[in-house]
Amino acid sequence: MDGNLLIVSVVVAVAASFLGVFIILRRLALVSDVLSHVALPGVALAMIMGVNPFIGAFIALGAVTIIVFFLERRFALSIDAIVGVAFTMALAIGMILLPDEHAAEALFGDIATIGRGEMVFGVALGALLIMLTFVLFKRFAHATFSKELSRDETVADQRAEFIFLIALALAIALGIKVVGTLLMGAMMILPVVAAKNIAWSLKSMTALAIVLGIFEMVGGVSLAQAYDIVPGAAIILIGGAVFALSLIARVIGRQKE
Amino acid sequence: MIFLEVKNLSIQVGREKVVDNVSFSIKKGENVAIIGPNGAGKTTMLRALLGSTRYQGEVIWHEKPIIGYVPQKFDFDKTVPFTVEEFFLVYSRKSKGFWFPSRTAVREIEKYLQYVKAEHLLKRNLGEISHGELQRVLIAQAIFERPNILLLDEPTASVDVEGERTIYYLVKEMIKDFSLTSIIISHDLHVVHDFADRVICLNRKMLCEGAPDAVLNKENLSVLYGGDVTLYKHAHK
Repeated sequence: MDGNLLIVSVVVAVAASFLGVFIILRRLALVSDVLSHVALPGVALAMIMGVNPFIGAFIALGAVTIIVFFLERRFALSIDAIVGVAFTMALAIGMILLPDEHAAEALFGDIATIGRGEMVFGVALGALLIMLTFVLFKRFAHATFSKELSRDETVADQRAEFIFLIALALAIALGIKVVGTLLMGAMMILPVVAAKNIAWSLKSMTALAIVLGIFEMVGGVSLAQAYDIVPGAAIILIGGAVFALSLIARVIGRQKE
Repeated sequence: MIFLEVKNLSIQVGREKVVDNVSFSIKKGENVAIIGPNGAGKTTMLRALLGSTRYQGEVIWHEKPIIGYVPQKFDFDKTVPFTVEEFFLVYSRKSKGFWFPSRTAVREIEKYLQYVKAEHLLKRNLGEISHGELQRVLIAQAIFERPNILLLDEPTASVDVEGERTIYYLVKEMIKDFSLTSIIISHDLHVVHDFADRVICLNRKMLCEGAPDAVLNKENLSVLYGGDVTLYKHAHK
């Protein structure tokens, strides 16, 4: 794997698993997975109009995220119901719009075809997301654990939630080139659920998730290049295997106690 | 010196008036208990004092309140690894850092855990400790940032009777040591009798108010709870 490719994969992996911690803490695992599919019509439109698919994906994701955020508050609907509707609509629109020859790349991604400009942009955005999550970690955790204890800080918590959702949209858009729309959600979830199995604190869970995310990403991309398979699929398969191992480790750990 | 003044407080939830025109005031250092049946608006009223719900009327603090709050229930995902230490750091209003807290910060957390005899829980996960232990951690966290008023909403709702008495004993000690003002919601009339300087009876409207001995009589309690409720006094050592 060449150096540039390695840097992009690592940055995307760290950003995804770092933010993924809060997806799991908030029990939004399926929401984020489903949300990643929302990018499809954006990618399709961008391809038709000849602009960078990332921009299309981010606009589609950003729009849906903001709509979801306000609908949830305005009508007290559950977030999974809203996302469920938005997702199927988006998928349907995406399928109608998406030109055939680009379908495979949009769905499964191909990090090998990434251009130099995209690479620089991807690394910069990834680094920004990582910094944002690091700085706002305490605030995100505060907004996650208990509404009852939040006292007069609910406004700050709501702001944090909004920033979190936008960051989520950006991270998903960022990963689309690497693992594709179908699998980006999984990239944010798999390292985190594996880390949760074996961690002893929130800090250790976060650190482990990042390490596992890097391992799964780099391992998957290398595997894909060696055996000429789709990188997204290879990354997710490794992620699944790591999760299985973490589960075994947890069971053994519990028995020892 | 008056610390808190509540004037004509009414709270509407949906179309229902949950709290109806309640007025009272609390002096500094006073320990007030709020009693009343389920659905009487006790928690809602506490939430108005916390500023986390809309209300009509006035809530006037004569001194800037630093509120320590122990909720009735603390819902969280018990499968998430989240240690007692991390819980203190995340919910601390003053920035103590999260990733690399200073030794002083950790020692301070330990000091407050010692108050509730829970220092051994520092590195344990919140999801793994018992209800009674969790309740003690919540109380320690509530006084961690030196509040001047403590709001306790049935702090022992999920604890067995023995644990309940321990917790009230600890709370009483803390209130004395930190010279706190406190408002407690409780269903245990014995606890209220031992604990409070003053009792407020609430069932949407304020039905009675005064010293425990004066208020906790048969007439007031049967109006408040309906039916036949009596406080059987027993000797305390």
